[in-house]
Amino acid sequence: MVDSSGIVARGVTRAFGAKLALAPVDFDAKPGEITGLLGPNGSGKSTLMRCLVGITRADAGDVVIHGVRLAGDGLAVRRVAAYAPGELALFGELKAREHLEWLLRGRTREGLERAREIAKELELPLDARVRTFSHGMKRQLLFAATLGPRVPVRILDEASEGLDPQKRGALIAMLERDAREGTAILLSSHHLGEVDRACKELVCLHQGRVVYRGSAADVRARAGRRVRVVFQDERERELFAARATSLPGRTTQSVGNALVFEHDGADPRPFLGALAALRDVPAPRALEYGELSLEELYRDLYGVEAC
Amino acid sequence: MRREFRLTLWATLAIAFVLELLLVPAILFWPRFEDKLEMLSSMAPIQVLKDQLGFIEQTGVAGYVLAQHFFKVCSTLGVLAAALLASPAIAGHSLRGTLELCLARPISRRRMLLERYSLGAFALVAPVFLTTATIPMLVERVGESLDQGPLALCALHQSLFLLAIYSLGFLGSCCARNPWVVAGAVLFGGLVQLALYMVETATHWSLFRMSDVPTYIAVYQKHALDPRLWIPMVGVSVVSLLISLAVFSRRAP
Repeated sequence: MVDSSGIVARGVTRAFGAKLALAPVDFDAKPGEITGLLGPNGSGKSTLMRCLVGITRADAGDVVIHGVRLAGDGLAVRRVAAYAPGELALFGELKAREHLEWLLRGRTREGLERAREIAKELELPLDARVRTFSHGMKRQLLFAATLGPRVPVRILDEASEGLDPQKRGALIAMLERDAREGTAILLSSHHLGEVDRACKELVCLHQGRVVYRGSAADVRARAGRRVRVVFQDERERELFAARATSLPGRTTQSVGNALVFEHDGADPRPFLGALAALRDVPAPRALEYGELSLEELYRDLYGVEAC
Repeated sequence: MRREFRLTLWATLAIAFVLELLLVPAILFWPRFEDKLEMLSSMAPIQVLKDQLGFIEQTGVAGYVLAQHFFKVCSTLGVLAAALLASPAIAGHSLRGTLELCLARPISRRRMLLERYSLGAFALVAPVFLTTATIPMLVERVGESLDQGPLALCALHQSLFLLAIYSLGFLGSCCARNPWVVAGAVLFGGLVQLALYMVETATHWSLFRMSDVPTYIAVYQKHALDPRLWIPMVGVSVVSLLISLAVFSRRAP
C-alpha cells in the first residue's frame, strides 16, 4: 500500500510484438474529478485502461489505484476500481437482472442493489433477455453494473458510445454526481461535447504517447486566445495569408477555407483592430473567437477535424 | 456462477442421457449376443476385433458390458464430449468477445480458470459414474449380475482417461482464440488414435490401449487401477492444468 488516492500511472508501457501500443505513459486522475481520456482510434486508450486494471499486463511501469499497487493479475486493484470495457459483448441468453448478478460477482450485495436501481432509473427492463436489447440498452446495462458498486475509482471505456443525446446526458449527470461524492473517474470518449462538459482534467493520447495533459479550463483559456477567420474559398484564404503578415500573433493552422490565429493575451481587441486596419486583403466571411475548446485542441494535436 | 452451473447441469444431463440411451439396449441385447458370440468371433474382419470378442467369450457378461459401455461408448463419445466441453472454456469467450468482461470482475484468474476447469470436468465425469451406477440393475433384467465396486473403479479409470484428453483440450482453449480449432484438433487426434488402435501393426501406439477391453477387464477382476496407466493419465491432466494456469495468467483478451 502506498499513500495515493485516485489513479497514479507512471511509465506504463506495453508493446504487442513489434508495435508499441503504449510508450511510457504518465498521468494522474484525482478523486472527486472526471478525467477525460482522449485520442483517435488506435491511440492506446483501451490498452491503457486494460493495463490499469490488470486485464492486459503492462511490460513496464507502475500503477497505483486508491493506494493499491497493481501487481499479479490485478485482483486487488479490481476490488477498488470498477471497469467498463469498450467492447460490448454480453450474454444474450441471460436476463438483464441475471446479467447484472454475473457482472457484479465478487462485489457486495449493496453494489448489486444499487446497480439495479440505476438500471431502473435508466428505464431498462430487467426481466427481458439481453438479446432483445438494443446496442444502447446494452451499453446502459454495462454502465449500471459499473456504477453500482461503491468503489473509489471507476474506469469507463467509451461508456456513452451509441447512446442518444438524452441518455448520454443522463449518464454524464450520474457520473458527475458520483465524482462529487469523491470518486475518481477516468472516462475515455470520442464525444468531445461530453468530455468538455464533464471532465476537469484531460489526457490526450496519440500513437501510445501522452501528447497533452492538463485541465480542461486551460484548454478553454488557450482556445480563448484564438481567432478563426473564415473566407469565401481557399484562394482567398491563401491571398489573405500572404498579405496579412503584419497581424499580431501567429497563424497556427490553415483548415479548408479558414485560418486560425493565436494571439498574445486574453483580450482579442488589438488583434481585431489590426485585422480591421488591413487593406487590399479579401474580406473574411466569418470570425470565430473563444469557445472552440476541445475541437480546437483535437485539431492541433491530431491534425484532423473533430465534429 | 448461476449461468455456469446451469450450463454444466444441462451438459451433464445431456451426456448422461445419451450414454444411458446407448447402454440400455446394449445390455438388453446381451442374451442374443451371447448366442451368436462364437459366430461373430469367426466373422470379425480384423485381428483387434477378434481379440476383443475373445475377451468377451472368456469373461461373459462382464467383458461384454465393459466393452459396450466403456470402450465403445464412453471412450469414443467421451472424446467428443471432452472436445466440446474443453474447447469453449476460454477460447469461446475470446470468440464471443466476452473474455474482457470475465476478466474485469474482481475475481482472480486462477479462481476463474479452476472453476471453469472443474465445471467442465464434472460435466464430463459425472455421466460416466451416473450411468455406470445403473449397470447392476440393468444386467439383472437379463438374468445376470455384476458388482458395483469394480464397476465404479472402471468408471474411475475411464474418467481419468477422459480427463487427460479434456485437460489437453482445456490447455488448447487457454492458448487459442477460436474454440472450433481446438475442438477440431482434439477430435482429429482422437480419430487418428482410434484408427491406429484398429491397425494390428500400429495398435500398440494408440492411446486407446489405455482404455480398451483388456484394461477394463483387468481393473474389474483385480479390483484395482493399474498405476502404470493411471499415473501417466493423472500426470497429463495435472501438467496440462498447470500450464493452462500459467498461460491464462498472462492472457490478454
